[in-house]
Amino acid sequence: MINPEPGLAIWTLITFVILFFFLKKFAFGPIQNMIDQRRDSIEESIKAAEETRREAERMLAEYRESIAQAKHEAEEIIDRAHKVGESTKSEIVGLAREQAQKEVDGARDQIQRETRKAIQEIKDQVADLTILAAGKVTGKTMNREDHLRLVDEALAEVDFDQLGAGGQ
Amino acid sequence: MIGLIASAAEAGQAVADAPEKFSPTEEFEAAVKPLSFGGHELAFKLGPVDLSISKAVVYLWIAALIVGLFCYIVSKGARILPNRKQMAFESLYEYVSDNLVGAVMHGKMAASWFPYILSLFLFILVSNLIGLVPFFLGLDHRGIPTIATYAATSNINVTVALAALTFILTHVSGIRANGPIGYFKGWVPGTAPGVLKPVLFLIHSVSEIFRLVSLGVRLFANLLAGHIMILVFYALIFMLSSYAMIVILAPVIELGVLAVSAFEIFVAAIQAYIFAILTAVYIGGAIQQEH
Repeated sequence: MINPEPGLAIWTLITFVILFFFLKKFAFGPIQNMIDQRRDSIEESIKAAEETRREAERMLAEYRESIAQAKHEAEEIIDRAHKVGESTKSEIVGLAREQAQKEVDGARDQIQRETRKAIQEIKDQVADLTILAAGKVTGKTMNREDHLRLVDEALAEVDFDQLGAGGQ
Repeated sequence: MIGLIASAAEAGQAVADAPEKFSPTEEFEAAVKPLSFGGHELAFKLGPVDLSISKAVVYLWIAALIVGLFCYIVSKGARILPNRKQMAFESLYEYVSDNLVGAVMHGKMAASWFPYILSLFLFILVSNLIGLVPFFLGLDHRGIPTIATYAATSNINVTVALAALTFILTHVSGIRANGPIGYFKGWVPGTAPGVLKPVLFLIHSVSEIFRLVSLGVRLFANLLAGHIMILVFYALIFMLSSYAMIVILAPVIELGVLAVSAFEIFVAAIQAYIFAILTAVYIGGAIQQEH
């Protein structure tokens, strides 16, 4: 066991060298390839997962932002509609009020005009009738100017404004 | 294998015939005798060198075959998603790659030396471990089974041959990396006074040779000691004089053998590790000399 046995030493070297080349060519190469391949694929997977996560995060942020924007826009639209409605309403109401006022004013004018005309007609008829009646009673005819003066005096005592106001 | 059985049966017979003269080293002396196969002695000579196929050579082949076949099968069935066998081998592979080679070498150097160091590690580990497996070697002349354990790495010729390979590779790679002048200059500290340089060179040369010797002897001595311990425990059984003592003491001795064997598994792994890491350290140191 401690005697020199060069033959055994040579056999040791032959056996080991053959084993070494066999392992290097047929075993370690494929194993190393497999380990490298696995490392690469894990690295790729991690990278892809990271990419996906980042993409998802980005999309989520985007969605959040667009939702917030949509909400904001909706609020704005509603707000604007409110305002438009409000202003339209007040506009319409204003217009209607104006229209009504105009009509009322027009009607009042016409009534006044009609009233004045009617009074004038009444005045004329009363004067004519009075002249006629007075002529028949006195047998004398007063001239028209005298009569008109008399009628005016009489009518001055009547409050036609009251009549006008009542016709309003 | 048949020759192996025949030779070991002879050894067993010798032991059986003279139990009181039992010598544990006999097993080891017999291991380098040529085996016989089918009646022919497997003795070969190449000039002065005896290339006979002995038990030690067969054990080397068995170790190489186990390592080669196992690694080949694992690498053939290698998948991206590993099974348990592949996982086990890959952890060993990466352990050697990261902690053993990676501790002393880096980058390209580590990649190019890793296969050698891993092969060395596996070959020595398996050689050591199969030394603990008792092989059934047949029946002796009384019909009693002969069972023996043997490790090729418990022969100094095997371990020194492997150490010599590391020794040669160390210096060849050192010279290739630094040039012959640069490499041998690196053996002497540059700051040393001129007169001392030859002395320091001589001291370093001696230390290099002792590295070779210590690398080989450490492995051999550890393995041999473990096997001798196991055999001595068994020898104690042969020395017991009465059946009563055998009945009482044999189980105790058996427990001792069990404990030593368990320790030997640890020694087998640690010695393979030491041999491999020292190889990595020596080669790494030769390539990247410290000035």
